[in-house]
Amino acid sequence: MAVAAVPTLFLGYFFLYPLSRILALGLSELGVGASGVEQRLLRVGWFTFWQATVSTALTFLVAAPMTWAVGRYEFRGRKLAMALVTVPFVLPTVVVGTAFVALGWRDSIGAILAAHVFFNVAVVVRTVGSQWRRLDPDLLNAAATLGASPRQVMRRITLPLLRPSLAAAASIVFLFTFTSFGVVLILGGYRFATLEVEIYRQAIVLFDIPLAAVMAVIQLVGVSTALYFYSRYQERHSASWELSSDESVPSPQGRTRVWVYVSVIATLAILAIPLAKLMQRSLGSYGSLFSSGLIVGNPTEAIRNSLLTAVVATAIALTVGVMAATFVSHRSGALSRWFDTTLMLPLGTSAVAVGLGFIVALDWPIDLRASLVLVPVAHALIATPFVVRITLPAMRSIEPDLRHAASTLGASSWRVWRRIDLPLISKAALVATGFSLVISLGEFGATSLVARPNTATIPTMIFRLLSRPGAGSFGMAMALSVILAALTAGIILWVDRFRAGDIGTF
Amino acid sequence: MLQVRDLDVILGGKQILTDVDLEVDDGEIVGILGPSGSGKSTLLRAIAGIVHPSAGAILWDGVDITALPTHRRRFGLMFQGFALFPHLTVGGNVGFGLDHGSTGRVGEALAWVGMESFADRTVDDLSGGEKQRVALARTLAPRPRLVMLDEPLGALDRNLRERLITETRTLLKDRKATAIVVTHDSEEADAICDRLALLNAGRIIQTGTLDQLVANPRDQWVADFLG
Repeated sequence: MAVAAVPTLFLGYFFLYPLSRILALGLSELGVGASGVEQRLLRVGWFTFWQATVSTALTFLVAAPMTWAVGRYEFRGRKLAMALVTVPFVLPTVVVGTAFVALGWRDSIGAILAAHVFFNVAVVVRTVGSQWRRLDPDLLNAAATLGASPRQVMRRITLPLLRPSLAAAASIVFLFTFTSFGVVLILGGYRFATLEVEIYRQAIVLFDIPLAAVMAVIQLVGVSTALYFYSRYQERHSASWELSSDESVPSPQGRTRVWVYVSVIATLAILAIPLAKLMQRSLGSYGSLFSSGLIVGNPTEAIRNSLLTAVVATAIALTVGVMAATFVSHRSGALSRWFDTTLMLPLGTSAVAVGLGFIVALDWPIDLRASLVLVPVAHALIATPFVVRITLPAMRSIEPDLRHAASTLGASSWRVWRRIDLPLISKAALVATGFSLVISLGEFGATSLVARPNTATIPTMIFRLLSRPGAGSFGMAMALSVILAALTAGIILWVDRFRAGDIGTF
Repeated sequence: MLQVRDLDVILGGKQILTDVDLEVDDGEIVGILGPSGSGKSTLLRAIAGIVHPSAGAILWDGVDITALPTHRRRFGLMFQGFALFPHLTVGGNVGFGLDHGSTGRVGEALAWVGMESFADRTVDDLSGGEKQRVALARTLAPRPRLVMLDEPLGALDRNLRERLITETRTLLKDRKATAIVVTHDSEEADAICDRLALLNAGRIIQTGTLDQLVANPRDQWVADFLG
């Protein structure tokens, strides 16, 4: 029971309590309803909704050819292609935004949509592609022997059977783009704002915390409604269609082979353009990054802050997450399930709302709002659900009799945990460490609300550089983005060595 | 009439079938008999056009159809795992190969296998024997020129098998179907088919009725295999 106390206190004080304060503030403010506010809310809400819808549709359009190629066929270089297509997805959103600034696409709806597509293509390719590969090929063959042409097979068999993963991918992309912050803040200028960006603007630029809280409530209601329907849908549909995992995926023949390679290479080439441009424009700015005394702050200090924050946040997230996973895996029943669900809540909550919650609520019992730990704690809160999701399966797969055997040999429960559980989950814990580091390094939404000028991280520094006119600071923003991307990629590559198999879904 | 001539199939760099010759007359039921891994299923898949031969030809009534895509061959194939479409009802499965609006034909085909009342059921709820019947009805419903059954009774328990052996033969003979039945069980093959072809390591070793094969085995392997 002791292992449940720490996660409960952590989540209770840093997540549930701030959330309830936002809800209280937002709901009381909703009643007041100053004139003109509704109209603004409606406009921002509508923009948030339609840009997410269009982004999702465009993402599917761009991802379709490559999804078909990797889902339907086995070919040389497929694994490499899957790794490469995932690169944009693991990049911090600030880097993605900066890459499109490097292309010269600022202050336009086109830039926002393009960046959303760039970021999310991997979600569709991986989620739908991996289910496609698990479809029993004999279902498609059977349809052909019954006279269905390849097009009819696609329409009558393949697409209906892929519906669960199509719905999953659509929901995830929609959710990501609906709550998009960094990309929209950087590329949207003042003309385009999602709810997320508007919350930030009201809280930080206009200091209207109550209005920000109202928007956060609307955002939370929207997101949790979407998540609720999504999980209901998944429950009803995915379980009954678990199909055979026949690994006999064919190699493409003849002309199909050409199309497979064209689809994959063209998709990867399109995704490479913004990154190539970013790297090209960063050249020549690395020197000034570390030499000049900037008005906006010191990039070297931001890098040091980011690294330190990442280490502290990861330590907190690992401690809390592994304790929570231990509790959930050692028990069954309603309490454990409820605990498991609560732990996932920060995943569905927007990072900006988490940050806003800190500003609103953490003045009690002592005022923590100026504390240095605020940024690492916010990052840890966001990383903890990932730590739980990664370590929990490893913990559940431990044979209970191993623990029983250790107990009968005289080991105390602490000793059992240290000598049995810990070594057996070490691989998963390393993966979780890598994920936490990456999340913390790239985190922008919560950080932009809670960071002080002296606690700037790499992403907030990039944003500040981008907000200043002049080619010099642009170049430095690009250079800092490349450094952040390299750090992220390095950690992901390191983690990949410990990762067993394919993590096909998100 | 189906003619398979000097067929070679290579899959994943491995030679699965070598110089396979096979003829099936109109209305004849031929059994392909052999141990597991001998290439029986691959032979059916090559005839159906699902896998492509590296050499040789497949002819129907003297016309070379080796390059014809699967969906234009009008050859029915009942798959070993039945391959029922999980998102369609029993009726939806049986009607898949029929034109739109031929609901009458669906009921008719289900009646052949005694499953009329199952049309609106989902395929998940069916027992193994029921799945077999639905798969058979689905294969026969579009009246294919050639019917191929891959281990049609393989997954079923003994009692059910014995009953379905007779049913399957009657069903095929009533429609005067030209058919190939793949199995690894010589008694089952003999009970359903008019003539047998023994397949081992990708080659046709000998053809004839079970009695002929038992009386005059061509080599030691045939004698051993038929016990």
